[in-house]
Amino acid sequence: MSADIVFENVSKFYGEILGVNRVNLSIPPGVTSLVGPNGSGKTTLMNMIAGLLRPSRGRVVVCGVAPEESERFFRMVGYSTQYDSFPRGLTGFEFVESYLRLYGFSAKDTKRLAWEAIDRVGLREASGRGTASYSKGMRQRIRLAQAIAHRPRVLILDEPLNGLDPLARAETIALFQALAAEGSHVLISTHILHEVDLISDHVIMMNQGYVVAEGRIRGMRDEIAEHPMQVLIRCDKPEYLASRLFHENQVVEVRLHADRAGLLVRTKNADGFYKLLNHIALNGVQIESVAPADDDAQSVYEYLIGSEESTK
Amino acid sequence: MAVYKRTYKGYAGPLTHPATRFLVLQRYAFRAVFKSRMLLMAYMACFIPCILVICVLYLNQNATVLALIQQKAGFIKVNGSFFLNFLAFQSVLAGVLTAFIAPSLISPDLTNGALGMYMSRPFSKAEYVLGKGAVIAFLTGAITMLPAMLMFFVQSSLLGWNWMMNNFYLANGTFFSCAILIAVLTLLGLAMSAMVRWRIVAGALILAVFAIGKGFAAMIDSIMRTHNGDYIDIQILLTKVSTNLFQVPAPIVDEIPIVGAWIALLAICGFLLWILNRKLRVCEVAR
Repeated sequence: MSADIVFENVSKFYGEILGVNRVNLSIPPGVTSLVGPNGSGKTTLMNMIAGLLRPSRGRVVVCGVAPEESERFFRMVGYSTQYDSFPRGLTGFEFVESYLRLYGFSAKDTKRLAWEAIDRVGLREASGRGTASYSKGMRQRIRLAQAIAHRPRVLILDEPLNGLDPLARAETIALFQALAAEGSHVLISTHILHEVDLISDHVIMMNQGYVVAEGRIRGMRDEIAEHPMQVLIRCDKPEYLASRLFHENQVVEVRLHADRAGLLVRTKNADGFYKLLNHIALNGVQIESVAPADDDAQSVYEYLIGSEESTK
Repeated sequence: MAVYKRTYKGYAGPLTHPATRFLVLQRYAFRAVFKSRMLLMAYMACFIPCILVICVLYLNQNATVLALIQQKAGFIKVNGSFFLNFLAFQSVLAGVLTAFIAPSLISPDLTNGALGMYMSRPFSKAEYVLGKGAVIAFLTGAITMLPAMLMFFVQSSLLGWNWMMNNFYLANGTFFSCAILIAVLTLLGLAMSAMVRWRIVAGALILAVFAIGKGFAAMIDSIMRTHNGDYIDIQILLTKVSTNLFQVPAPIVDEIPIVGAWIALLAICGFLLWILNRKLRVCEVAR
């Protein structure tokens, strides 16, 4: 039985409107971020994994189980919407407990699992209060608690970091990573691109219903040939280094830093460039640091999808 | 590259039967409905006629009372008309009650996009409707079917086995006329709650459906000079079915055949179910 979430040539149409088209994916366990502008098909993809939508074409199989086997399928999947969906008048504990009961757990187990999840998101003290009095961050966390309470193997979270303060954000990311370390799939959609590298092992980028790229950020960046890789170098002789680099074919552009203590190089062949840099360093240039400047989700997103659509 | 060990453990304990899971929805729904003391008091008041009628049934067979008013048999005749009138009164209360409680059942879930929270669990749309509908069905059944059945058994206990067997059609009539009334009210309440997200409007609409249906029926009847308009008048249809079940002659509603009335009521229920199916979408659908 496959441990991956598999999309086999999946398309979803809403009448004549395209949701997603010809998606072929195999998502391994770990934290996977789903990024893309509004209307790119992220939620459609997530809803299909959550079993809330059926594809118009193709097949979605989650850890070897198809959504048609509903009892097994839904037991394996935990879902948290981005909407504030709190039945009126419930306390945090009752909110988690009431949804847990739909799985058919015994009253004793329901209570135990609910407390376990509430503790995991750090809301025990507030669990007796009505959810109406919760802050946005607390609402996010209690929603996360209801999604993880039945111990799902696949966790699907729509914008789970929205509204969290920095501490809660760090704790939540640590929780995602802990769940991933246990072998779970944690699939999150996010608009906060600069956190994608920090949170996720894999990234799926979507635009206009198509998967534009998927995999590890570094791997994606290497495959974008039309945008030369940017490397930031801090050294003691930036002018000399720049003059040396101008002669190299693989270097497209060299720019001196404003503080004149470093330079930004654009190169078509990153591996060749690093070898060259080693050679230059042996010839009297003191290099303090070398760091890729556009090897992150934000840059990859901008190259593939366009900066005008980012972080809507 | 991250290396993941599969150390997570899913739940492996006992499970309740899937057929009973719809009852989970009622747990908090009743509490939400009766959060308003006014509504709770109004609901309690709906039982007063039942208590009074059961007292009357007792007094009707009490020898001391009969001697006091110099009557040999009872002072009221307990027959189909008696049950029909009682249920007609209770049905109005059930309709008003539905208008108050139904709008808070589905519309908040739709407004908050909470349907996905239910449907991402081993819980179907049908179970959701059943769970929400059971709230209305239970509350309206408790003020219609339950007291009417109680009346039948009280009367049977006072007059004996023979009366019970000879008048079994009253129990039969009570059960089926209340069942169709409860089904119509439940589906109407849920459909309006799913259609209209503003609760006051949804409540008003539930009551208006009866008045609008009556108005249209009268219009069709007068313009086309037929009685076919009665097929969209829920009140006439329910009365027709009830009078037939209680074996009461009802010349006013004799214009449409009883089979037609049953078919029309079932068609209305089917239409309301269709509305619910259309409105209860888990995900917003782009058009």
